[in-house]
Amino acid sequence: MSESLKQVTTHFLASRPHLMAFIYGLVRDPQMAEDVYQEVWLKLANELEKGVVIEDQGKWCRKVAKNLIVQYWREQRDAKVVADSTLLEFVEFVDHAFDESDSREDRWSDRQLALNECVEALPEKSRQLLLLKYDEGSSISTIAARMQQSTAAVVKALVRLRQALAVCVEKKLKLQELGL
Amino acid sequence: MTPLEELLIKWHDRSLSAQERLELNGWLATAEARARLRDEFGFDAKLLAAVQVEKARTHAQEQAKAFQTIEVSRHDVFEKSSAPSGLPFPGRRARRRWRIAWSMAACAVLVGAVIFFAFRSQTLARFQGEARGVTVLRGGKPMAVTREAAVRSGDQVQTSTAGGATVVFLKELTRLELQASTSVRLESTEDGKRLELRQGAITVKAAPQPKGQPMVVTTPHAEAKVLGTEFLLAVTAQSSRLEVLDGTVQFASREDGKAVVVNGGFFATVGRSVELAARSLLPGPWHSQDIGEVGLPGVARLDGNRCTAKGAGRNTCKSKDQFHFVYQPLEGDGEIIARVVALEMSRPGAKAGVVMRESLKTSAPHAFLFFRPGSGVEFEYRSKIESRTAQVGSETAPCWVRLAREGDVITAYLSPDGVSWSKAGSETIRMDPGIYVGLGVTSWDNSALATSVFDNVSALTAARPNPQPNDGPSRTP
Repeated sequence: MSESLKQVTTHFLASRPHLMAFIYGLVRDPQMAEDVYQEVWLKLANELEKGVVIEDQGKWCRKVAKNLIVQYWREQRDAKVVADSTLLEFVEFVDHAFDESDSREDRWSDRQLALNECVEALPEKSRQLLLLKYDEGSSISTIAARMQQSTAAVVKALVRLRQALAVCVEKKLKLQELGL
Repeated sequence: MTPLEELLIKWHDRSLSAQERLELNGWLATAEARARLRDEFGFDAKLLAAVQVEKARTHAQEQAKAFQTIEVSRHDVFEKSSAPSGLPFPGRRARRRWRIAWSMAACAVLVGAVIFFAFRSQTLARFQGEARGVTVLRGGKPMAVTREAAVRSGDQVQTSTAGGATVVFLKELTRLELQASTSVRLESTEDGKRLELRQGAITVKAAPQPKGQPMVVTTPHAEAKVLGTEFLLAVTAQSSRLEVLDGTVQFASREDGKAVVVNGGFFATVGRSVELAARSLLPGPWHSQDIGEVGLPGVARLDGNRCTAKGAGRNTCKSKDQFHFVYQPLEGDGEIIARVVALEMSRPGAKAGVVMRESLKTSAPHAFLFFRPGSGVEFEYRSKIESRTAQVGSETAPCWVRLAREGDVITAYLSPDGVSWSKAGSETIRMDPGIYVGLGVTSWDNSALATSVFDNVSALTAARPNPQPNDGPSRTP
């Protein structure tokens, strides 16, 4: 592996959380998100092979990912997003939002580990809700039917759960800082 | 106005109304809301990873529970077998005799239980199944090794030149496979488990260890610190070689203290005039990677034309695939041949076989001729959206499989010996000229890996009508 390819690979892997957050946030399908991520890497590797110099790798990757995401949404038969200017506007907003931050998140792995521990400590019902939503990718209406609740109640439960997890992560990081 | 978090959850759910979508875009006109959105998206990606970790952890815990249940049921058997069986008691005398007998039996059970637990507490692990040519040295004295014999802390286990054994640790899923002519000492201390490999080779499948108590494996030259992984460590007079199949191991030289972190799919060697560095287990032009969201990362190792591949993934049918792919690029016509030697699986749906694929995308057009234990060989292909599968044979492993591409036609062949081949199916699948060919394995389970062993692996750059297994100028094993 050449030195430049090594550097690019290291940077690409280091900024995976940031890029995956962008992709998964817009695609909302874990498999498709992984697919887009891989495709971005292939395109990046191709460019490097051709000797193209990429100045801002993070921005370049996001641009490629954005095109792939828009293409994905266009291919969705029932997504009602073909030529949907509101969706395109939303994608631009998200891109803008990611443009405004550094691709290397502070204490990313600590945050991930803390979140893993917080999820592990959740009551069974809450973990079940997360599994249905994130692992199985079930829709809110499916979850509501499975849990015998209204869709509004499921949305509220998810909002509360995410807030509780965010607080839990911050607490754990604080304790780590204090060496406890 | 609907709160931003709620709008984002609905966006995630694809259930935003037109009004709510406008509302969401309105929110995002401010930099503050955009920063929140970025955090929310980042949190979502982390939450997805955390949920997948949690799922794998729960699965491992269930397996561990099953192991403990067996231990508990053994105690039950012990107690029951010591108790007298219920019989009718005709007279008062007889009843008294039985009462005395009951009391004595209860005392015997109690004493037995105390002895059992006292000895058991020293037991660190047990042999699993037949222990061939094995000697256990306890305090320097050789012990008689029976089936499922206990191994205590401080024991030294040795295998003969034709021997081999599997040792399973109690209350966890850590397994140790000793190859022939191996000598290893096992010890459990407050700091964790210690394995001292004096000669030979061991494969360690280590369950996650308690925090601050990593399992440490030492050789005369090196030290490997394990947190939960699967690896092979072999020692010779000159060097120690570590091959990591899954997880991460820190491998350090005992001479100069230099260390390297070896990830799954890589190996490193400590020895004189050998540079300590992590190197890939796959020689060029082979590569390997997971296709789709597989849950657990797969890994592959290629030794000559023999390949061991581990892969997770729910399936490779319908519109999306999830499997581990060991591949090399192919331009134009060509073929891939392998013999599936074995497939160790956690679920009956596991598959292993040869693959031709347009790209590394999860829904790429592909052809997969695979062996599935219990059901034989199947030919699966996807030309556009959904894949189709046809049963083409009822072979058991080991079995020979071959895919050949000529233009847009991909043909599947089976063979009993790798010499005479019979056509098992043929499909027209439009792909780019440049495709990927190789081996695929999937476990049908996102929280477990299936292990497949292939040999006689060869990829040819131009298809021939009836290939021989071990020749060909352009073959790249």
